[in-house]
Amino acid sequence: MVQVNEKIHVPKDGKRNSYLGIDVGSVTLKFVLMDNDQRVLSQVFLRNQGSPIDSVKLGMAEMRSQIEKNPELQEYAIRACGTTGSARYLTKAVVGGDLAKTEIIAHAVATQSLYPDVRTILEIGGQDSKIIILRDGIIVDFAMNSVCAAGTGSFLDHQATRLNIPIEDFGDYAVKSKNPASIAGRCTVFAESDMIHKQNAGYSKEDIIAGLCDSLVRNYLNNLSKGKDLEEPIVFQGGVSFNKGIIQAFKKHLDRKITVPKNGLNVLMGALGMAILSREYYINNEIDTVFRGLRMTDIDFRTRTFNCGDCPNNCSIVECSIVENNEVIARWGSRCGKWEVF
Amino acid sequence: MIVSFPNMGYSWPAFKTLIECMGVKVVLPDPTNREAVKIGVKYSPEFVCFPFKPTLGDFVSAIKKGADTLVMAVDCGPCRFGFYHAVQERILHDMGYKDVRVIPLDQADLLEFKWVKTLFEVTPTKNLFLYTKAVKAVQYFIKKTKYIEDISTAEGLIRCYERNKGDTTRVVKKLLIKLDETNKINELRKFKSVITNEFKKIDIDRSRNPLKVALSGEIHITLEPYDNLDIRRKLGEMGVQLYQNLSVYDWVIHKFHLNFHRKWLEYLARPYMPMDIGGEAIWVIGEYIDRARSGFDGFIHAYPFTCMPEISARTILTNVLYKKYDLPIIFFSFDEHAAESGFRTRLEAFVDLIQGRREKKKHEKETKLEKKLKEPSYEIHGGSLYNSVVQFIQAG
Amino acid sequence: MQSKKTTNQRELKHLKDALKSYRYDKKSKIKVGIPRALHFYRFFPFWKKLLEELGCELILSPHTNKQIVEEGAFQGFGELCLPVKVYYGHMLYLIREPPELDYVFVPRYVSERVEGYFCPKFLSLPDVIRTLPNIPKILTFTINVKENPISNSIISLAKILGKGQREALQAYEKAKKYHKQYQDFLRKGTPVGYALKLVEKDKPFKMLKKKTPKNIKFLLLGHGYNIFDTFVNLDFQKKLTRHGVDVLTIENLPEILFKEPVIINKQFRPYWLHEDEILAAIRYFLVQGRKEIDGVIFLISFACGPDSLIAELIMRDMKVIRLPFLQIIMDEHTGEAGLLTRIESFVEMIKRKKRKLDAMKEKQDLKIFEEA
Repeated sequence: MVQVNEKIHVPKDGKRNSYLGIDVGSVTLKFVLMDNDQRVLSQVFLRNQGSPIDSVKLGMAEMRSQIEKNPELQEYAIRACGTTGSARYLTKAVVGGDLAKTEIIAHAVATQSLYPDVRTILEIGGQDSKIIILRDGIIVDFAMNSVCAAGTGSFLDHQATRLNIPIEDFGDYAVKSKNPASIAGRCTVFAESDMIHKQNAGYSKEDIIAGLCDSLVRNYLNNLSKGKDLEEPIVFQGGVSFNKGIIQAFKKHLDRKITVPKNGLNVLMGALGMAILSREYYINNEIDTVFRGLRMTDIDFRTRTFNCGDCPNNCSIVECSIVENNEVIARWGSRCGKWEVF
Repeated sequence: MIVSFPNMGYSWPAFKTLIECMGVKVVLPDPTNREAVKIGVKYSPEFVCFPFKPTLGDFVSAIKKGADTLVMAVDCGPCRFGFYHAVQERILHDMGYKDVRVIPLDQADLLEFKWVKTLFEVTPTKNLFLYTKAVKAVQYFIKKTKYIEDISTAEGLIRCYERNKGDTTRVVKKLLIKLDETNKINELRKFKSVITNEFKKIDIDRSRNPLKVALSGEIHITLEPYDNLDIRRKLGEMGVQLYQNLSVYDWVIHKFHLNFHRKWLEYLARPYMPMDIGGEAIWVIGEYIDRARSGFDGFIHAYPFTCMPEISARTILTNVLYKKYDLPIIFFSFDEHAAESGFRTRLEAFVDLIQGRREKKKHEKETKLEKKLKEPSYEIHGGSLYNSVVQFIQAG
Repeated sequence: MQSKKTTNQRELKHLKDALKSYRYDKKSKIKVGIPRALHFYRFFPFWKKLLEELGCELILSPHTNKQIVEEGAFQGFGELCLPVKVYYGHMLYLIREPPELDYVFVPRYVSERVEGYFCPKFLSLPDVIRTLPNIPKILTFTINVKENPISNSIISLAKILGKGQREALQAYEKAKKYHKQYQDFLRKGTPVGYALKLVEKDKPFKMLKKKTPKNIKFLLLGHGYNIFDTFVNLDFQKKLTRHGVDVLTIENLPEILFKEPVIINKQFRPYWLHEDEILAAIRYFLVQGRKEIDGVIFLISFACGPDSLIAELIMRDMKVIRLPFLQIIMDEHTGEAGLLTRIESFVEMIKRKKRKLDAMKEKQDLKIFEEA
């Protein structure tokens, strides 16, 4: 468990402390509410709907209804809130977060709280994938896919639709295969054409799916694990870690034991990490949170875009403001950093 | 005749002086922007290294402003850079700009004085005074590149301390314009005090303890803010003190065989790479060792996607040197597809990584290995200006 | 103190000498591994003669196969070009498979003429290979005529192998002669793959039986390691022959074409050697040889630096003189189906064009005949 000086100041309202972590990824949205002892009180896992603001509102409404139903949860008050994921700054502005950190840090912190001696973290999410290397409790190296989607969940999702198989059953199919087809392809498009080729050549569904899993893992390792020693214990997480076929392929390629966090926590690691970091933040800083509260679902946000036009770049600037008082809460999109408000 | 040249970060006042002193009119291309890169990408070969594309875009932008003679540096070293001007001229002609000339500025070995020929070539009138003009041009050029290096050194040192975000960027812009307007030798000699005075006006928070990170890599990518997604500013605003050896001045002096710092780096790199293979490969390796020895927190290696020499350097850095010297290193390869958000995430994560490492190191005693690695390192960092900036940060 | 040191040194020297004579006594040859990749396809006859004259036994890695490509691709990171990855793969094979190699041979080719270079990846090859895990000792020599003549580097190579200056120079002369023979043999029109096979098996250079010339003739451009590595390019040449196409490569062209350096513009100096040859060949076919070939195919490996620029220049030239030009970019993931489609349609296109031209010619002849 994370070691923090236990000098938590007791707020006046007499409620117990809890911390909210929000992970807004490219495909899904994760909320984790955690108490002082790092117990998960409540969790939300949703697919993104439209803009991140709408999704966050939906998630918050879900969390709110969970809390309203459960009288036990009402004894808690949220003391700090942290955001992560690709939309971390926007989310932070919208919900009134106290801190925004990258997914890499969040994942590392959360995994360490569950497996204190972890040395390698593999994470495959919707549109990005990472490897994090830890030694003696600190991150020493990491890699993130920067150009291609061939080593991510979207790739599998896309192929599942093609094969007309629900993505949830993908793993079961893959495990059944005895002789995985070899599917080549640096990128999604080529892998797909090769897959069609194999399909036409008469391979069974199981073999093709196992081959896809294999090719995803190979791409992932080829892209990210260069020059890194993947030492045990290895923890594998992210949405794709539900897939047994991928786990099998990892075991085959790495020849090492692979652990996947249980109880659905494997997808919540980012949010959990942010909750833990928020707790640290609260304890170290003793500042009252700027969190807008669960009632933020009632606030109307408005986004508008305009072109800057001060230089030939003509960047389009996105501005997010509260409708009621026209307060600008976030603005981004310029290359030179002139307009940025976070 | 109207002459122009491509952008490379802050270096434009120096190149402008070099050509203007010869009595030729100069047109500057727009600062590299999305439009220029779009044009460059459209007309360039697909798999060429990235600097080719924005420079081609810059040329088009300059031609539209009226330029008819374009100067492109060329180095017949082993890398693709030496081919740029030939292919670019061909492409420009095929695009319909038939009268445009691309003149190579030979910088393979400046002591061969082939660049004098280029200077004469862009000058329309030929007479005896040309030689005096050339001497003046070079004198101003070298002085200005030196000041530009000073400005960017001070910028890297101070930005992480600024209280109001954006102050340093503003000062740098102002100084560059001022430098461009300074065209008398007496004023130019005193320009150093102008730089220090401007930077001293910035309101700084001395209580911060920033991370020390070195930036190195291919010269065009590391110097041009558009191409590297403004990595210098972003790092500074994240609270990182940035050190960069690389500059036009550094390069020019090296090509006059007077850069002893680079010779020192070559000496350090020799066991791993015994010869110059083009690009900055050998100096990147040397600098990595040098920075690791002098106790830096991190190292950034930036280069264009598929750059041949830098990739060789990267292989050696990851496979050997990182394991030996244990200085955290991150690689960025840039091209027109570089995505802002992923880049930012990786940069932030890297800064968090080195922060965590520093905090852990604080509690540890120096290991034997580290003591051994702390052999003498070559401290240059921009000479007297560096010292006065450091004094300013420390004392006020 | 000092005397002690010198005695130590003397002892060491004595030991070394003993070791050397032991080697001579045993008549065991030094085993040297050569990866079948990169400049193998260009310089192998030279190396073979040279190293064998210097008392080495050569062990070649097998022809590229799937495992080699995969291992190599895993070792090198994504941005590296395919040939270097394949080189890694061969090197890993040599490290793993044949027992007790004394050395692996990784030469450093910097430049063969005073002006001009090889690609930077050739320049740093020994340094990069040295970073591989469990690598045996590297036998290297530097060809850099900018700094010293080739014979010097061969003398220092011979020193490592325990041979003297005279032997080195003799070996160099023999190797040079042999390489010249080999090159002449190629210029008679022999395919490189066949010639290399002869070299490998120590057979005399004997011409293949002349096949009947085919209707269509292509110039196949590209680096040797792309054109002649039949696994990497999915046996590209065979596919062309099957479609009734004769293939010409740079090696088959007369030497005189390459005597004069290519000048792209006034200030241009000759540059990369391989690329220079490609441009020289193209220069010939642009003007005099226009009628001799029907099309040009340029094989490029993904992320190849020099070719990315050269291909652009050639493409623009080809557009001007209207010679059909196909540029094929390969990497370790190239699928067979896609490649076949492209070759087939390219050949088909040229056949149709030719037929049309012939028909038109016939018509014209007929007209002339009728008018007469």
